[in-house]
Amino acid sequence: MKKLQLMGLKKKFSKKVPKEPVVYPEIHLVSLPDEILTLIFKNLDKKTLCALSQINKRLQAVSQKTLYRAIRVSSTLKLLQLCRTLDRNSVEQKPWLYAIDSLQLDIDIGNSANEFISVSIGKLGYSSSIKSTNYKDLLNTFNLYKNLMTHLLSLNSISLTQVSPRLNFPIECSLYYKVNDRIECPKNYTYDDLRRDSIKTVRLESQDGISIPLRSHLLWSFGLIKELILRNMNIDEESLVDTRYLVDASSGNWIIDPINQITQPITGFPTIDTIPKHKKSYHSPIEKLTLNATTVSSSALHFLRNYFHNVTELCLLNIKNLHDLASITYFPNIKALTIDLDSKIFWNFLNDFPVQFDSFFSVLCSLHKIQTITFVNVKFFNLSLIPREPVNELDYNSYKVSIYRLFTHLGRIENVSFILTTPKRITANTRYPLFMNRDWLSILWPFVDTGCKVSIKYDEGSYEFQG
Amino acid sequence: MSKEKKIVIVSSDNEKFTVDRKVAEKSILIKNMLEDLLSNEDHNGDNDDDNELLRDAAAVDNNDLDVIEIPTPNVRSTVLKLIIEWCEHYKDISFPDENQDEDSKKTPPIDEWDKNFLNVDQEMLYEIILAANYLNIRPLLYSGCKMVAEMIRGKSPEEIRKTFNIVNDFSPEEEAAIRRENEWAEDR
Repeated sequence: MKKLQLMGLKKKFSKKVPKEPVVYPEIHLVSLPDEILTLIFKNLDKKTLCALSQINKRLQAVSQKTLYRAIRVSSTLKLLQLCRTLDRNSVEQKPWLYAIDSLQLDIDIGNSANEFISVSIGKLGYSSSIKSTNYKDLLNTFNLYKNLMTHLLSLNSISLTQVSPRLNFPIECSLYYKVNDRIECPKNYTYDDLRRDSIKTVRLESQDGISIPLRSHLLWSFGLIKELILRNMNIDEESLVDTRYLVDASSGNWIIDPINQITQPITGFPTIDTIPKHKKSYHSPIEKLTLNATTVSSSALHFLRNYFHNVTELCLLNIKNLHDLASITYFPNIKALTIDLDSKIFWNFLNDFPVQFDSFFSVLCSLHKIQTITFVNVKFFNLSLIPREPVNELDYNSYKVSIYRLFTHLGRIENVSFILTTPKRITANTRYPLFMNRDWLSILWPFVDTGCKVSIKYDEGSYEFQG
Repeated sequence: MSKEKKIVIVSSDNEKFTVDRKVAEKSILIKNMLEDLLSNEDHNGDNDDDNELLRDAAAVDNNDLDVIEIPTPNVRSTVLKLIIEWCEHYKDISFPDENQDEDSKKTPPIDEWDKNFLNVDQEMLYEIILAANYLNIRPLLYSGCKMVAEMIRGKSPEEIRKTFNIVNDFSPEEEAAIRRENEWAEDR
């Protein structure tokens, strides 16, 4: 009882007298510089970061900066809560809340009939009189998303992991539309402004087993995308013929000479015949492309070269068929290529080595600008006993023999550096297993005396092997 | 240019530690300093650097050609001793790209040896972190930061305040407001 009274007293006391700022000793957690606190905090999970932001004002700013840097939202309710937080705090008060760099939405934002939300949303649009507003809007995840996007000016990366066939960004979302709508004289809006307003990395994923065709409306709200990552998607003819979000990356002159079609209502996607000829010279601004379990329809192949003209880095993961592997030839300007050796295609491919390898090898040779080839998911185990020449059929089918022969061929490609990455540590508790374990060295014999630079990398370090 | 030079690192309280060049170069700050210094020597010792430390070190170098003294005015001898112990342990291991992207999300768990090595009191841990930051020894800095993170992980706000001796400067209303702010991040 006495304690309770004391506690009550203390509270009253602390309310009346403004607190003196606490002075901490020079060597104290709170006294560490911001960049070190940030280094510490980035090791922590969301829950602990939430706890940290309640400790004191200084730690709040730093921990929330870490928490709000990369955001992952898993339900419409959470998205609503995030919108509410931004709504209640202005940029001037708490700039770190708005410094969101990457946003991942694990929600199907195309699904407007989402779960019921009974929270009001403030100035983001709907609270003043929910009854008079379109009730559907309140439940519309897509509108929440749109509101969020208009607030986040520092966003560099966006991931939509639940892309569904329903998702459709209307023409008002197109950056062209936004630019022309917002700025009275579009001529004042320069290419640099456009670059600044653009999202640099866009990741679109659909659920396993579903293959959603890429459509230009999925991209046009992001502007000059530098990196595009697709997972469980499909690139077909239609994906590449609609140029409404494309820009002539070399001159960026679409602002001066806007494509008329943008301001007109869409009446379905244009077919190849309806595209004016001059548009065929427009390239997408994408420089880095990752295709993960994403197939390219054969009808789209001859558009790749033009559309992805600016792509210099190509990454193919979970390659499903030979056809997709062969599509590498349609990227004439790639300098860096990444191939996932754990793809299903390679299980057969490597086993059926003598037949299919030559074509793969000639594909690689046809890339004139290539500088680096990275193989990910190379398995470096039990490599000590590799027969130089296969003795029987079984040997032909073994993974290591195939890898060895693959490397033998690769060693003949000149002036290319190879990076081989292995998925996991070979032995626990050894930090640099490859450094200690010499077995794997024998697999690299083909690179000796070839002038190729080979690096082996894995999660916790790298060892360089010079050919 | 002789590679046999002895490197002497001097702490803030003037204690001297003689180390191999290989060990000293775990610190990128010292490594760059030595490279500058020795390349200057190649150019007939023409050194008009505005780097005070470098000049200090070079002056000593002129007096005694076989010893290079490097002052570390921010680091106490007890801390420096530990830092050198760490550098000795890792002298033969090259770390992955030093200038790795700091934003990379996935960092490996803390090394067992480092864990034991950094099992010191809070103040010492902060001093090691600050010194590693100043001397630019990234792997040690990261390990130190991970150690602190381990001490924080999973604790409630009250527990964190207690562990680190921090005073709450929020009013209850402010605290509640922050909780609501971060509601989106909390798991059900």
